[in-house]
Amino acid sequence: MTMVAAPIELALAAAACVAGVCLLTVSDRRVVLASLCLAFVACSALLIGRVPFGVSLALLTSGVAATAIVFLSTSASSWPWLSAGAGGLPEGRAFRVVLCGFIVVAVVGLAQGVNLPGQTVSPPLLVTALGLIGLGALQLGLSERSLRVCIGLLTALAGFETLYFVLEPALAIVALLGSVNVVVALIASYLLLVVRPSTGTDGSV
Amino acid sequence: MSAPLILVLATLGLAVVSGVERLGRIPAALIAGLGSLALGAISLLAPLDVPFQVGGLALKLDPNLEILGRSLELAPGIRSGVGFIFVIGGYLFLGGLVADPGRYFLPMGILAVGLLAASLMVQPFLYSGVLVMLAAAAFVLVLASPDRHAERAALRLLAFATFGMMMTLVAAWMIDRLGVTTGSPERAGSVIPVLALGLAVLLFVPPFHLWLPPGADRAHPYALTSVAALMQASGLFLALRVLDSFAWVRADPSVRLAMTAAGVSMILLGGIWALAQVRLARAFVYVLLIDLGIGMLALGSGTAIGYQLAMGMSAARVVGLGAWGLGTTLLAAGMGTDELDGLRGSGFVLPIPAVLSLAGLLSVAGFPLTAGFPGKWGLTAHLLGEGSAAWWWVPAGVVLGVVAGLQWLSVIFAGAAGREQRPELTPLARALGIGGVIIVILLGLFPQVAYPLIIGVISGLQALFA
Repeated sequence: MTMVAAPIELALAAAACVAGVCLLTVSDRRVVLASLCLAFVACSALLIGRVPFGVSLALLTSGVAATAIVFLSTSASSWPWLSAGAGGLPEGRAFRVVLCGFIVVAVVGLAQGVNLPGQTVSPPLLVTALGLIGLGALQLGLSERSLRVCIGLLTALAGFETLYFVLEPALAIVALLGSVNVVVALIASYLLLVVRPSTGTDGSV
Repeated sequence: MSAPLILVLATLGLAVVSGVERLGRIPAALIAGLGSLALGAISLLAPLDVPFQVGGLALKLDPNLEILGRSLELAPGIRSGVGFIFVIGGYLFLGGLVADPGRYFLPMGILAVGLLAASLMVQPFLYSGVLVMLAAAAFVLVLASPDRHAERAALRLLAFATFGMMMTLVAAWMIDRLGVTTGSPERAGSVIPVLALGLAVLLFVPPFHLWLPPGADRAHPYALTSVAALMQASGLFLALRVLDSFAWVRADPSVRLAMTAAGVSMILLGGIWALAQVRLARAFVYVLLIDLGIGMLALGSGTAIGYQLAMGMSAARVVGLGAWGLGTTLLAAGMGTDELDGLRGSGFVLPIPAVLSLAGLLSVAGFPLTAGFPGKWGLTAHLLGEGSAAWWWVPAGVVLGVVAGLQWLSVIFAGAAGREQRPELTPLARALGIGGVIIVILLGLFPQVAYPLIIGVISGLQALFA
């Protein structure tokens, strides 16, 4: 199996982290969903060569399917997120960017010292996985709006699956965790389309 | 023919049939409830690996089902736990005859019961975290019905279950890679915190109880109690399986200490908050937290009798949860609220739902002569006999819960009725209400009838009793 070259690996890790930060700080739904898709693409690309190709493809497929479900649901619910006004920043964005910075710096530092028994995991992959888990958890902590929570869960799951598939690429687990991504997206869809939560002051859900 | 495959297909069939809207609420609840009880009976009683005849047809049930390199196994030590989950589901779904917790209660509830049962059967069993998470996802639809807006509680439960799943999967990998044994305490020391975090989510150890209060505010009371009853039962069985399977967990005194500490913190937190609530549902979830804390003290005792008592209390909890859920549903529907001022004197307006709700609340609290009392009495005596310093937390928890219950008794039966017109109860609601009260009291009066059966559920976990 041929692994992706080190510079590409670094670029993919950076792309995943930037996507994770965008998921937390941007309100525009198109950017958010594109970032979610990018996170899954970068994670599955990082897995190429480390795990059987089918496992990497399964992560990509389930991630893209989950993003597509959320995309269709937000479309059907008339795009409830508002973009920021001209030159205006949504409330709390600077605060969120600072928190994201803390998470990324902490994860980069942590990744240097993590020693997984019987397993070699490259630092970029570890940074990506832990970074996305951290940013997803932060999203859960900062918002209780349905769509934000589901996107936070999907972000954390993307990171966890990236790491766990390297440790344990068993077919049953890959299939189950893939279904978990889709189920979380379906729940977001149910909450948006059936329960129809009330919108926040900025129109977000 | 594979027994787990039969259970999986039958569960899916029941979920589909009970979800057909045209069927009507009562037939759907009957199908779901009786179907779930039948699956419980199959799990408990069906002869496995032995040829038998049904109507001239020779059959042999294989206890295994292979899926993608992993297996579902209805092993002798597990089948009673699987049956227990299905029986709890059946008991709660029959309450759907009267309570109407939303369109998705029955189909998603059955699906979740099937997933929780499968989580007990999956091998290696620590992969059960994924199935429990999927069950929590099904519970989102049960809790957050379109008219209730309880998505905050539902999503908190889902988030906790997701992170709990991650923890149990990481623990499973660590156990596999590190080769932990009783002779390697340093390796066990690195696995146990990860494993404990995963299980704490299922046992509602604070702060993982945080989905309960918002659920009490918004979710349908019967949906909330059903979810809590099923999650705690599967969580307890998984915890007992961990103790049964890994001698190094049983042997570690810090595990017992942590369980006892968690139990004490749950009793304290629940006790303080239960007394300060102005909503019946909120008071109840904190009394439930006290009860779960007492269950943790039983697990923390580290003895076979302690484990048996934890199991017995879990079953009694389900009876109390069902009674409270049904009673409060009828009471809140009749009075239009479950808040303190609105419920004042409601016991004179709707006596049967009021008594059922209070019987459930007091049973979970451990009031004498209710289903919840014998387990707590037995645990107090057992901890005293063992010389455990934690014994007095059991009566302390009971007193805190009972005081909260009596506080609501005095509100519900205070003064005169707030309404001149009595809301009518259907004969079925009246019958289920009276039946519920009788069950709560009978199990409290004659624990010797039911407790041996319930304790037998964990008799297959032989290492616990070695």
